[in-house]
Amino acid sequence: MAIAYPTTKDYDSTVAEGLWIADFYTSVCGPCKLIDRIVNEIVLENPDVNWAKCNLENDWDMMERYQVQGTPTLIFYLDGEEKARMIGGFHSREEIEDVISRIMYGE
Amino acid sequence: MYTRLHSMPDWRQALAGLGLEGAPDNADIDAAVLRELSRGRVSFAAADGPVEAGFRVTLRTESALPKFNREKTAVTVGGGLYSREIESALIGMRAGESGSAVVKGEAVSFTVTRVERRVYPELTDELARAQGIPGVETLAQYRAYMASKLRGEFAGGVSARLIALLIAGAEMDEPDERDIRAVIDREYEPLRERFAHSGEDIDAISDEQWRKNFYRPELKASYELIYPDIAPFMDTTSKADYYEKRRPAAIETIRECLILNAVLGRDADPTSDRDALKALRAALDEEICGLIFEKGAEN
Repeated sequence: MAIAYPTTKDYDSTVAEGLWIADFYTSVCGPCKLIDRIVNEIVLENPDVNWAKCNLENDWDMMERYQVQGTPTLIFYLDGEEKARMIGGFHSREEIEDVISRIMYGE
Repeated sequence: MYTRLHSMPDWRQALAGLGLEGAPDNADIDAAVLRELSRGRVSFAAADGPVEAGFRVTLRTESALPKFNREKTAVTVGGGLYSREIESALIGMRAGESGSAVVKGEAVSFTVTRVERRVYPELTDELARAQGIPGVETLAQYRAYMASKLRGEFAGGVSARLIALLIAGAEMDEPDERDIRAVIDREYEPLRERFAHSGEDIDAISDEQWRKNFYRPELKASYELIYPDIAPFMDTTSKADYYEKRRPAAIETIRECLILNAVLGRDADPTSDRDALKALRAALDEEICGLIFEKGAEN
Protein backbone atom coordinates (compact mmCIF):
# COMPACT_ATOMS: atom_id res chain seq x y z
CA MET A 1 0.00 0.00 0.00
CA ALA A 2 1.15 3.48 -0.77
CA ILE A 3 -0.36 6.89 -0.28
CA ALA A 4 0.68 9.60 -2.71
CA TYR A 5 -0.23 13.24 -3.23
CA PRO A 6 0.31 13.67 -6.99
CA THR A 7 -0.15 16.68 -9.22
CA THR A 8 -0.41 16.70 -13.03
CA LYS A 9 3.40 16.39 -13.17
CA ASP A 10 3.61 12.97 -11.55
CA TYR A 11 0.03 11.69 -11.67
CA ASP A 12 0.46 9.24 -14.56
CA SER A 13 3.65 7.73 -13.16
CA THR A 14 2.06 7.45 -9.73
CA VAL A 15 -0.86 5.31 -10.90
CA ALA A 16 1.18 3.35 -13.48
CA GLU A 17 1.70 0.19 -11.43
CA GLY A 18 -0.76 -1.77 -9.29
CA LEU A 19 -4.24 -0.85 -8.17
CA TRP A 20 -4.75 2.81 -7.39
CA ILE A 21 -7.70 4.85 -6.23
CA ALA A 22 -7.28 8.46 -7.34
CA ASP A 23 -9.38 10.56 -4.99
CA PHE A 24 -10.17 14.06 -6.27
CA TYR A 25 -11.33 16.38 -3.50
CA THR A 26 -11.23 19.88 -2.07
CA SER A 27 -10.83 20.89 1.55
CA VAL A 28 -14.22 22.65 1.61
CA CYS A 29 -16.17 19.68 0.21
CA GLY A 30 -18.19 17.99 2.96
CA PRO A 31 -19.05 14.75 1.11
CA CYS A 32 -15.34 14.35 0.27
CA LYS A 33 -14.71 13.81 3.97
CA LEU A 34 -17.16 10.92 4.01
CA ILE A 35 -15.40 9.24 1.11
CA ASP A 36 -12.00 9.97 2.65
CA ARG A 37 -13.01 8.09 5.80
CA ILE A 38 -14.16 5.03 3.84
CA VAL A 39 -11.15 4.87 1.52
CA ASN A 40 -8.85 5.26 4.52
CA GLU A 41 -10.37 2.16 6.14
CA ILE A 42 -10.12 0.15 2.93
CA VAL A 43 -6.46 0.94 2.27
CA LEU A 44 -5.52 0.25 5.89
CA GLU A 45 -6.93 -3.26 5.61
CA ASN A 46 -5.78 -3.98 2.06
CA PRO A 47 -2.13 -3.24 1.39
CA ASP A 48 -2.56 -3.98 -2.33
CA VAL A 49 -4.83 -0.96 -2.67
CA ASN A 50 -2.97 2.32 -3.19
CA TRP A 51 -4.40 5.78 -2.67
CA ALA A 52 -3.59 8.90 -4.69
CA LYS A 53 -5.04 11.89 -2.86
CA CYS A 54 -5.54 14.70 -5.36
CA ASN A 55 -6.37 18.03 -3.75
CA LEU A 56 -7.74 20.10 -6.62
CA GLU A 57 -6.96 23.31 -4.74
CA ASN A 58 -3.29 22.50 -5.22
CA ASP A 59 -3.62 21.88 -8.94
CA TRP A 60 -6.84 22.84 -10.70
CA ASP A 61 -5.41 21.64 -14.04
CA MET A 62 -6.04 18.07 -12.90
CA MET A 63 -9.77 18.72 -13.11
CA GLU A 64 -9.75 19.25 -16.88
CA ARG A 65 -7.02 16.79 -17.64
CA TYR A 66 -8.73 13.89 -15.90
CA GLN A 67 -12.26 15.07 -16.71
CA VAL A 68 -13.29 15.47 -13.11
CA GLN A 69 -16.76 16.99 -13.13
CA GLY A 70 -17.34 17.31 -9.40
CA THR A 71 -15.98 16.37 -6.00
CA PRO A 72 -15.49 13.86 -4.71
CA THR A 73 -14.55 11.74 -7.71
CA LEU A 74 -12.81 8.39 -7.39
CA ILE A 75 -10.99 6.99 -10.41
CA PHE A 76 -9.81 3.39 -10.16
CA TYR A 77 -6.70 2.35 -12.07
CA LEU A 78 -5.06 -1.01 -12.63
CA ASP A 79 -1.51 -0.70 -13.95
CA GLY A 80 -2.24 2.78 -15.25
CA GLU A 81 -5.46 1.94 -17.06
CA GLU A 82 -8.69 3.56 -15.85
CA LYS A 83 -11.10 0.78 -14.88
CA ALA A 84 -13.94 2.57 -13.11
CA ARG A 85 -15.10 5.93 -11.83
CA MET A 86 -17.41 6.91 -8.97
CA ILE A 87 -18.74 10.42 -8.56
CA GLY A 88 -20.28 11.88 -5.39
CA GLY A 89 -19.80 11.33 -1.70
CA PHE A 90 -22.68 9.08 -0.81
CA HIS A 91 -21.33 5.65 -1.65
CA SER A 92 -21.14 2.90 0.93
CA ARG A 93 -17.97 1.03 1.79
CA GLU A 94 -19.50 -2.09 0.22
CA GLU A 95 -20.08 -0.30 -3.09
CA ILE A 96 -16.48 0.86 -3.24
CA GLU A 97 -15.18 -2.58 -2.22
CA ASP A 98 -17.28 -4.20 -4.97
CA VAL A 99 -15.64 -2.00 -7.58
CA ILE A 100 -12.15 -2.80 -6.26
CA SER A 101 -12.91 -6.51 -6.07
CA ARG A 102 -14.15 -6.61 -9.67
CA ILE A 103 -11.02 -4.82 -10.86
CA MET A 104 -8.64 -7.03 -8.88
CA TYR A 105 -10.31 -10.39 -9.31
CA GLY A 106 -12.88 -10.08 -12.09
CA GLU A 107 -16.63 -10.82 -11.94
CA MET B 1 -34.09 28.08 33.36
CA TYR B 2 -37.61 27.48 34.55
CA THR B 3 -37.36 23.68 34.42
CA ARG B 4 -36.15 22.05 37.62
CA LEU B 5 -34.42 18.78 38.50
CA HIS B 6 -35.71 17.26 41.74
CA SER B 7 -33.59 14.14 42.16
CA MET B 8 -31.42 11.70 40.24
CA PRO B 9 -29.55 8.44 40.94
CA ASP B 10 -26.08 8.58 42.48
CA TRP B 11 -23.94 9.07 39.40
CA ARG B 12 -20.81 7.42 40.78
CA GLN B 13 -22.77 4.28 41.58
CA ALA B 14 -24.37 4.39 38.12
CA LEU B 15 -20.93 4.71 36.55
CA ALA B 16 -19.58 1.78 38.57
CA GLY B 17 -22.50 -0.34 37.34
CA LEU B 18 -21.89 0.39 33.67
CA GLY B 19 -18.96 -1.98 33.19
CA LEU B 20 -15.92 -0.88 31.29
CA GLU B 21 -15.37 -3.71 28.82
CA GLY B 22 -13.47 -2.57 25.78
CA ALA B 23 -11.52 0.18 27.53
CA PRO B 24 -8.35 0.67 25.48
CA ASP B 25 -5.36 -0.93 27.18
CA ASN B 26 -1.66 -0.71 26.36
CA ALA B 27 -1.95 -3.42 23.68
CA ASP B 28 -4.76 -1.46 21.95
CA ILE B 29 -2.70 1.71 22.06
CA ASP B 30 0.39 -0.04 20.67
CA ALA B 31 -1.69 -1.60 17.88
CA ALA B 32 -3.16 1.78 16.94
CA VAL B 33 0.31 3.39 16.91
CA LEU B 34 1.66 0.61 14.70
CA ARG B 35 -1.34 0.79 12.34
CA GLU B 36 -1.21 4.55 11.91
CA LEU B 37 2.55 5.00 11.68
CA SER B 38 3.07 2.12 9.25
CA ARG B 39 0.33 3.28 6.89
CA GLY B 40 1.69 3.11 3.36
CA ARG B 41 4.86 1.36 4.53
CA VAL B 42 3.74 -2.26 4.99
CA SER B 43 5.49 -4.94 2.95
CA PHE B 44 5.24 -8.75 2.86
CA ALA B 45 7.70 -11.59 3.51
CA ALA B 46 7.38 -15.39 3.36
CA ALA B 47 5.77 -16.86 6.48
CA ASP B 48 6.42 -20.28 8.00
CA GLY B 49 3.35 -20.43 10.21
CA PRO B 50 -0.34 -20.71 9.43
CA VAL B 51 -2.39 -18.00 7.74
CA GLU B 52 -3.64 -15.18 9.97
CA ALA B 53 -5.87 -12.23 9.19
CA GLY B 54 -3.87 -9.63 7.28
CA PHE B 55 -1.54 -12.15 5.64
CA ARG B 56 -1.17 -12.34 1.87
CA VAL B 57 -1.91 -15.77 0.42
CA THR B 58 -1.35 -16.99 -3.12
CA LEU B 59 -3.91 -19.55 -4.29
CA ARG B 60 -4.69 -21.94 -7.11
CA THR B 61 -8.46 -22.16 -7.45
CA GLU B 62 -10.97 -24.33 -9.29
CA SER B 63 -14.65 -23.54 -9.68
CA ALA B 64 -17.45 -23.08 -12.20
CA LEU B 65 -17.22 -19.38 -11.33
CA PRO B 66 -14.60 -17.74 -13.60
CA LYS B 67 -13.41 -15.45 -10.78
CA PHE B 68 -12.44 -18.54 -8.76
CA ASN B 69 -11.01 -20.63 -11.56
CA ARG B 70 -7.45 -19.34 -11.74
CA GLU B 71 -3.96 -20.76 -11.69
CA LYS B 72 -2.70 -17.97 -9.45
CA THR B 73 -4.46 -15.33 -7.34
CA ALA B 74 -2.94 -13.24 -4.54
CA VAL B 75 -5.36 -12.40 -1.74
CA THR B 76 -5.06 -10.26 1.38
CA VAL B 77 -6.89 -12.33 3.97
CA GLY B 78 -9.52 -10.59 6.05
CA GLY B 79 -10.00 -7.49 3.91
CA GLY B 80 -13.03 -9.06 2.22
CA LEU B 81 -12.20 -7.82 -1.26
CA TYR B 82 -11.78 -11.33 -2.70
CA SER B 83 -14.38 -13.51 -0.98
CA ARG B 84 -15.33 -13.45 2.69
CA GLU B 85 -16.12 -17.19 2.55
CA ILE B 86 -12.74 -18.19 1.12
CA GLU B 87 -10.77 -15.72 3.22
CA SER B 88 -12.42 -17.11 6.33
CA ALA B 89 -11.60 -20.70 5.27
CA LEU B 90 -7.95 -19.74 4.71
CA ILE B 91 -7.32 -18.78 8.33
CA GLY B 92 -5.04 -21.39 9.91
CA MET B 93 -3.96 -23.04 6.64
CA ARG B 94 -0.36 -23.49 5.50
CA ALA B 95 1.34 -23.51 2.12
CA GLY B 96 0.60 -26.76 0.27
CA GLU B 97 -2.75 -27.37 1.99
CA SER B 98 -6.05 -27.50 0.13
CA GLY B 99 -9.56 -26.48 1.13
CA SER B 100 -12.97 -25.65 -0.20
CA ALA B 101 -15.78 -23.16 0.27
CA VAL B 102 -19.17 -22.36 -1.20
CA VAL B 103 -19.51 -18.96 -2.85
CA LYS B 104 -22.81 -17.81 -4.36
CA GLY B 105 -24.00 -21.42 -4.24
CA GLU B 106 -21.02 -22.75 -6.22
CA ALA B 107 -18.23 -24.95 -4.84
CA VAL B 108 -14.74 -23.47 -4.91
CA SER B 109 -11.72 -25.64 -4.20
CA PHE B 110 -8.35 -24.08 -3.62
CA THR B 111 -4.73 -24.88 -2.81
CA VAL B 112 -2.49 -22.49 -0.88
CA THR B 113 0.75 -22.08 -2.81
CA ARG B 114 2.38 -19.27 -0.82
CA VAL B 115 1.85 -17.55 2.55
CA GLU B 116 3.30 -14.14 3.36
CA ARG B 117 3.08 -12.15 6.57
CA ARG B 118 3.04 -8.40 6.92
CA VAL B 119 6.32 -6.69 7.66
CA TYR B 120 5.98 -3.38 9.43
CA PRO B 121 8.58 -0.63 9.35
CA GLU B 122 10.65 0.20 12.40
CA LEU B 123 8.79 2.90 14.30
CA THR B 124 10.93 5.96 14.76
CA ASP B 125 10.69 9.54 15.99
CA GLU B 126 10.87 10.61 12.35
CA LEU B 127 7.74 8.65 11.48
CA ALA B 128 5.96 10.14 14.47
CA ARG B 129 7.02 13.67 13.48
CA ALA B 130 5.86 13.09 9.90
CA GLN B 131 2.25 12.78 11.10
CA GLY B 132 2.20 16.57 11.45
CA ILE B 133 0.46 16.58 14.82
CA PRO B 134 1.15 19.77 16.79
CA GLY B 135 3.48 19.12 19.74
CA VAL B 136 4.40 15.60 18.58
CA GLU B 137 8.12 15.28 17.84
CA THR B 138 8.92 11.81 19.20
CA LEU B 139 7.50 8.30 19.18
CA ALA B 140 6.77 8.56 22.90
CA GLN B 141 4.80 11.76 22.32
CA TYR B 142 2.88 10.12 19.50
CA ARG B 143 2.00 7.19 21.76
CA ALA B 144 0.80 9.60 24.44
CA TYR B 145 -1.29 11.40 21.80
CA MET B 146 -2.82 8.11 20.64
CA ALA B 147 -3.48 6.99 24.23
CA SER B 148 -5.27 10.25 24.93
CA LYS B 149 -7.29 9.98 21.71
CA LEU B 150 -8.43 6.39 22.29
CA ARG B 151 -9.17 6.98 25.96
CA GLY B 152 -11.10 10.15 25.16
CA GLU B 153 -13.21 8.32 22.58
CA PHE B 154 -13.94 5.53 25.02
CA ALA B 155 -14.77 7.94 27.84
CA GLY B 156 -17.14 9.78 25.47
CA GLY B 157 -19.09 6.56 24.93
CA VAL B 158 -19.23 5.86 28.66
CA SER B 159 -20.43 9.43 29.34
CA ALA B 160 -23.25 9.05 26.83
CA ARG B 161 -24.41 5.81 28.44
CA LEU B 162 -24.17 7.35 31.91
CA ILE B 163 -26.23 10.39 30.94
CA ALA B 164 -28.95 8.20 29.43
CA LEU B 165 -29.06 6.16 32.63
CA LEU B 166 -29.27 9.23 34.87
CA ILE B 167 -31.98 10.89 32.77
CA ALA B 168 -34.02 7.67 32.88
CA GLY B 169 -33.76 7.52 36.68
CA ALA B 170 -34.20 11.23 37.42
CA GLU B 171 -37.22 13.11 38.66
CA MET B 172 -37.56 16.46 36.92
CA ASP B 173 -40.20 18.83 35.59
CA GLU B 174 -41.48 18.42 32.09
CA PRO B 175 -39.33 20.97 30.21
CA ASP B 176 -40.96 24.41 30.40
CA GLU B 177 -42.22 25.79 27.08
CA ARG B 178 -40.25 29.02 27.65
CA ASP B 179 -37.05 27.01 28.03
CA ILE B 180 -37.76 24.93 24.92
CA ARG B 181 -38.39 28.05 22.84
CA ALA B 182 -35.24 29.75 24.18
CA VAL B 183 -33.02 26.73 23.42
CA ILE B 184 -34.27 26.61 19.83
CA ASP B 185 -33.81 30.40 19.55
CA ARG B 186 -30.15 30.06 20.57
CA GLU B 187 -29.61 27.30 18.00
CA TYR B 188 -31.26 29.45 15.33
CA GLU B 189 -29.11 32.53 16.02
CA PRO B 190 -26.07 31.60 13.88
CA LEU B 191 -28.29 31.17 10.85
CA ARG B 192 -29.89 34.56 11.42
CA GLU B 193 -26.41 36.08 11.78
CA ARG B 194 -25.20 34.38 8.63
CA PHE B 195 -28.08 35.80 6.61
CA ALA B 196 -27.70 39.24 8.21
CA HIS B 197 -24.05 39.22 7.22
CA SER B 198 -25.07 39.05 3.56
CA GLY B 199 -27.74 41.71 4.02
CA GLU B 200 -30.71 39.35 4.24
CA ASP B 201 -33.34 38.85 6.92
CA ILE B 202 -34.03 35.16 7.39
CA ASP B 203 -37.16 35.91 9.36
CA ALA B 204 -38.59 37.66 6.29
CA ILE B 205 -38.06 34.92 3.73
CA SER B 206 -41.06 33.00 2.43
CA ASP B 207 -41.67 29.31 3.09
CA GLU B 208 -40.89 28.69 -0.56
CA GLN B 209 -37.49 30.40 -0.21
CA TRP B 210 -36.84 28.50 3.01
CA ARG B 211 -37.55 25.20 1.26
CA LYS B 212 -35.33 26.18 -1.65
CA ASN B 213 -32.48 27.14 0.68
CA PHE B 214 -32.54 24.28 3.16
CA TYR B 215 -34.76 21.34 2.22
CA ARG B 216 -32.42 18.43 1.40
CA PRO B 217 -33.68 15.58 3.59
CA GLU B 218 -31.80 12.92 1.65
CA LEU B 219 -28.49 14.54 2.61
CA LYS B 220 -29.26 15.25 6.26
CA ALA B 221 -27.70 12.09 7.75
CA SER B 222 -24.42 12.68 5.94
CA TYR B 223 -24.29 16.36 6.86
CA GLU B 224 -24.78 15.56 10.54
CA LEU B 225 -21.24 14.19 10.49
CA ILE B 226 -19.70 17.15 8.75
CA TYR B 227 -21.85 20.24 9.27
CA PRO B 228 -23.80 19.57 12.44
CA ASP B 229 -24.94 23.22 12.62
CA ILE B 230 -26.59 23.05 9.19
CA ALA B 231 -27.99 19.51 9.31
CA PRO B 232 -31.00 20.34 11.55
CA PHE B 233 -32.38 22.65 8.86
CA MET B 234 -32.17 20.11 6.06
CA ASP B 235 -35.49 18.36 6.58
CA THR B 236 -37.52 21.49 7.32
CA THR B 237 -39.88 23.29 4.96
CA SER B 238 -40.41 26.56 6.90
CA LYS B 239 -39.33 28.36 10.03
CA ALA B 240 -42.43 27.08 11.86
CA ASP B 241 -41.62 23.53 10.73
CA TYR B 242 -38.05 24.02 11.94
CA TYR B 243 -39.18 25.07 15.42
CA GLU B 244 -41.57 22.13 15.61
CA LYS B 245 -38.99 19.58 14.47
CA ARG B 246 -36.35 20.89 16.89
CA ARG B 247 -38.59 20.49 19.96
CA PRO B 248 -37.47 16.92 20.82
CA ALA B 249 -33.79 17.89 20.60
CA ALA B 250 -34.39 21.01 22.71
CA ILE B 251 -36.16 18.94 25.36
CA GLU B 252 -33.24 16.52 25.46
CA THR B 253 -30.79 19.43 25.73
CA ILE B 254 -32.64 20.83 28.74
CA ARG B 255 -32.80 17.44 30.46
CA GLU B 256 -29.17 16.67 29.76
CA CYS B 257 -27.98 20.07 30.99
CA LEU B 258 -29.90 19.69 34.24
CA ILE B 259 -28.29 16.30 34.83
CA LEU B 260 -24.79 17.44 33.86
CA ASN B 261 -25.02 20.55 36.02
CA ALA B 262 -25.90 18.33 38.98
CA VAL B 263 -23.09 15.84 38.27
CA LEU B 264 -20.46 18.53 37.75
CA GLY B 265 -21.74 21.05 40.29
CA ARG B 266 -22.23 23.73 37.63
CA ASP B 267 -24.95 26.13 36.58
CA ALA B 268 -24.71 26.22 32.79
CA ASP B 269 -27.83 27.50 31.04
CA PRO B 270 -28.66 26.36 27.48
CA THR B 271 -31.42 28.97 27.22
CA SER B 272 -28.83 31.74 27.26
CA ASP B 273 -25.68 29.93 26.03
CA ARG B 274 -25.92 27.76 22.92
CA ASP B 275 -22.61 26.08 23.76
CA ALA B 276 -23.64 25.15 27.29
CA LEU B 277 -24.35 21.50 26.53
CA LYS B 278 -21.17 21.09 24.49
CA ALA B 279 -19.06 22.50 27.33
CA LEU B 280 -20.79 20.34 29.93
CA ARG B 281 -20.31 17.20 27.84
CA ALA B 282 -16.61 17.96 27.39
CA ALA B 283 -16.23 18.48 31.13
CA LEU B 284 -17.96 15.18 31.90
CA ASP B 285 -15.84 13.33 29.33
CA GLU B 286 -12.72 14.70 31.01
CA GLU B 287 -14.00 13.73 34.46
CA ILE B 288 -14.90 10.20 33.32
CA CYS B 289 -11.59 9.79 31.49
CA GLY B 290 -9.72 10.69 34.68
CA LEU B 291 -11.78 8.30 36.77
CA ILE B 292 -11.40 5.35 34.38
CA PHE B 293 -7.76 5.74 33.49
CA GLU B 294 -6.16 7.51 36.44
CA LYS B 295 -4.58 4.28 37.73
CA GLY B 296 -2.88 3.12 34.57
CA ALA B 297 -2.33 6.50 32.99
CA GLU B 298 0.93 6.46 31.03
CA ASN B 299 3.00 3.33 30.91
